Amino acid sequence: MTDRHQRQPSLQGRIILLALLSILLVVPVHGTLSFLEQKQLLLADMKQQADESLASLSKNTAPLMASYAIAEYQKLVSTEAALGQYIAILVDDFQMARILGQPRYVSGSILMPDTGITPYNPADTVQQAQLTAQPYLLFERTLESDGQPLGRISIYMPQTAVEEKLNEILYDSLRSSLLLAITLVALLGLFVRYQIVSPLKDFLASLSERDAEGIPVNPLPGFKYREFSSLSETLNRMIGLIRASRAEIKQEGDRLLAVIEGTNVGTWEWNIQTGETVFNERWAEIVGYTLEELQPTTIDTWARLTHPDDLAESEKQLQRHFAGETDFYQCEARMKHKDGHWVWVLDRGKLSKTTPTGEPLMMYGTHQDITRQKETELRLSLAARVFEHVNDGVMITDTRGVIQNVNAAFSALTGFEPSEVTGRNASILSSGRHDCDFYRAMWSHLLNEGNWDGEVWNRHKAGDTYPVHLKISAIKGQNGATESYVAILSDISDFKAHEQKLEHLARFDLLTGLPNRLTMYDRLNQAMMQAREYDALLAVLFLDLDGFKEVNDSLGHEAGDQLLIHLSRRMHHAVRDTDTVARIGGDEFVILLPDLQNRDAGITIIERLLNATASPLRIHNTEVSVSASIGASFYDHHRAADAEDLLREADQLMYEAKQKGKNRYQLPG
Amino acid sequence: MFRSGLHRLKLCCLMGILLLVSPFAAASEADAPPRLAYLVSDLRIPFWSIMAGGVEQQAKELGYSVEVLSADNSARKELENTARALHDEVAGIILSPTNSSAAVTVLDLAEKAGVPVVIADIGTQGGEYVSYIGSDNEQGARELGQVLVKALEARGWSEGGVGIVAIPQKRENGKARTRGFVDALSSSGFQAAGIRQQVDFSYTETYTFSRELIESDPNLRALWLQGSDRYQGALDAIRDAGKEGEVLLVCFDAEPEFIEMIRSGQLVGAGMQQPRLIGEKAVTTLHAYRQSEPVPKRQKLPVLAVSPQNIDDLLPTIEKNVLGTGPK
Repeated sequence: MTDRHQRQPSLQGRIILLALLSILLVVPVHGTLSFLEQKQLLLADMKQQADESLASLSKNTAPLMASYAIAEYQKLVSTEAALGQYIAILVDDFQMARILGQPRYVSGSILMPDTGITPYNPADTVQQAQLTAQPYLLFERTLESDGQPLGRISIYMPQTAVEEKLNEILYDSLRSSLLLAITLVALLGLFVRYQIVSPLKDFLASLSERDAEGIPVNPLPGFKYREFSSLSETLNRMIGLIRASRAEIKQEGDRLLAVIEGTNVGTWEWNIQTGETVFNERWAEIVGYTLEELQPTTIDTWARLTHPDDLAESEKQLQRHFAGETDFYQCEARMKHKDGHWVWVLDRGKLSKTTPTGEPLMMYGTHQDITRQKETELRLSLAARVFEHVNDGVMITDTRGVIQNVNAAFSALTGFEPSEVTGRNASILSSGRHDCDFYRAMWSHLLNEGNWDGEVWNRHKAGDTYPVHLKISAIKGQNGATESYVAILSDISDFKAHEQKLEHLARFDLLTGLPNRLTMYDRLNQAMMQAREYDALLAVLFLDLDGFKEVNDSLGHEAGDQLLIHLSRRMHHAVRDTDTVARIGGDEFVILLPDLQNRDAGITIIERLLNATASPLRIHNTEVSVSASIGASFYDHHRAADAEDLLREADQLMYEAKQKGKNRYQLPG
Repeated sequence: MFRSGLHRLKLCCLMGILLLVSPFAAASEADAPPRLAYLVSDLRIPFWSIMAGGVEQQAKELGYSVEVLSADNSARKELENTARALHDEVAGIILSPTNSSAAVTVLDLAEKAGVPVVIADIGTQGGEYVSYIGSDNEQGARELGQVLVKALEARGWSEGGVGIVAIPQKRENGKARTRGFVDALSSSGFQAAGIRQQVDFSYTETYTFSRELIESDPNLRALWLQGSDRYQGALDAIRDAGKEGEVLLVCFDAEPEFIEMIRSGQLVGAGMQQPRLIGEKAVTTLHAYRQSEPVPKRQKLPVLAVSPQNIDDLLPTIEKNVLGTGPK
């Protein structure tokens, strides 16, 4: 126990003292009140007794006195004195006084110590002495008869009863006080010692063993009494809570420290009123200093290192924050590195205390080195500008092909505004010209190789299809997983048109627009393949115009060309849609009739061709009339021949038809 | 103080007046004979006047002057008489009080004044006195009873009841009279048939009680009046009941006419006290006391049981001691 504890008052002592004081205060007060009450009751009783005695005596004595029956009323008085245990009852008989010529005639009874109730004799000095020897209460009543006073009865009631009662109550009170005090003090002492102090000592003993932070190590023991038990449980809960809270605070502190260290941020505490500012090591490190080099640190340390342009912005943001316009202060600022270059910091903070008058007082915040981010931002900004201004459409999708962003060129190309396609699948662009295999192959390549490159026909918002050169690249994240895709769509409509034009020139007759020899061969081979595959009948017609040379010679090449153009149209109309009319040179045509029911079907077409060519037509206001000689070869799966064989045979048969008079056809024999 | 002084003044005046009116005022105390006072309840009653005569006679003989003060049966007057006697500083008092209770007060006053008192006939309930002189009521009643029994038997009756019209039985003399009388009857074939206690001692009361007793017992042979003065009520009751000659009458005490009535048989007998003798004895006793002679505390004088048989023998005694008519 320490000296201070020694000096402190003892609970046990105080409780006992309190008990003693309570007893000493309460018992006498109670005794006094009790005495007063008893006294009142006693006096009331005495008065009542005296009144009753007086009433009885008055009633019985008055007639006796009136009839001068002195001895008779004296007997009554004697009896009453004995019954009432009075000091004396005296009767002043006025009549007798008059009769005897005396001032008074007093008789009665007096209680004498030796003789008991004794007739009163006023001349007896011993009786007089006895009458006044003890305190008494005097009750008197005047006796009357017919309104005339007869005498007076005086009852001397001993007051010793009151005093005896007082003494009795006082002694009782004293005895009770002492007994109560001794008992209560003893019991309280024992109780307090064993039931309060002892548990409290256990309590203190449990509390005395504490850890470095002053928190008790052991839980407080359980106690017998509810209050102590409750206190113990409460304290245990509190200790538990404190411990948990401490742990939580420590954890929080550690976490905060870890966060600060992890995020590599500098911290600052700024007393706005004094300008005093505290930085951490990282704060200095960001600008290339050690904290020691910056000492003493004030808000001027920050101002001195910050770019003047950014200081103004910082001040503006601070004032906004102080004015309550922003929840926290944030500003990006350039700070002069020790090496001379500028570093970007993200300066963030929050006002946490104000002065009683509402002035900002304390502010806490962080510095984050965002130089790299800034550079990245610049790069991204550049990229964004590229994204916006490049001629090719750029579309960014997630891994499922949902469009996340498109650029202006994309909108120009596809007709879709960014808002119309963002969030929708890229298939919105599909023209339907590519089958599933195409897309499956594309995705497969994309997934495996991370890119795909090719031409795709898309559908414009207006409904037209158009070709694009599509280049898709997977954008991979830090972990190598694909996060999104970037598709660059280059419009190749012009290129394709040019390409188609070149192909047309290569595969079609420039004059008539009919397939040329090259195309004729392709289609012939294809038709032969189909004939073989589907057991169909194919006819190959070799047609040569009769009289063309004459027209060409007489009317000129231009007329000859016109003739060829017109006849080509007629022949084209004379055959079925599935048939091919090709110009293979000068005035020679090859007509392919695939999928014939039989030869007659071929002959029908041959005849329509003959009619078409033989019908006259006007060229340059001159009626021109030519005819055609046709040789036909047939092919089905039974025949082992190639294209050349069929053409040669048809050519041969055409020649035979020409030989036989022209404007006719010749079938194989 | 003032009131007290006033009382003293009044007392002095009273004393002065009394001294002036006193016939003995002029005489010196040394020359005058010792004075006695006889405080008597009522001189109008012969019994007491006869007793007063005895007192006066005996006092005179012994050299006393005596002051007879009648209370006229008034308690107040009795007290006033007492006060007067004591004021007169009498040498002694003969007291025949109005009642035994009043006697106590008189005795108390006398004691305080240092005056000796002899009580004559009526007893006291307390107090200090020299001696009590009274009649032997029990003896008288017994003898009277025997006289009655003889008279009844003489008529040939051997049994029957006797009605008693009694004085209050709370009085000692009443009890003694009843006791003696009943004792006399007990050895005969007669018995007390009923008893009525007098309250106001009136004629009507005596008549009524007598009639009730007669009517309540058909076998009633006699009525006994413990007093004497209302004998006519009893006689009238017997007559009105038609029992004349059938119901006899005996009385205690005496009236002058009793002599003739006994002689005529109208009254079977009477127990006669001797008041004059009592008065004389009282004075004698007081004198003896004053002479410092031993005196008995109680003295009982014989009651004369007068019957037709002995009346003539007793007549001189009766006239002297009972009726006070004899030679003084």
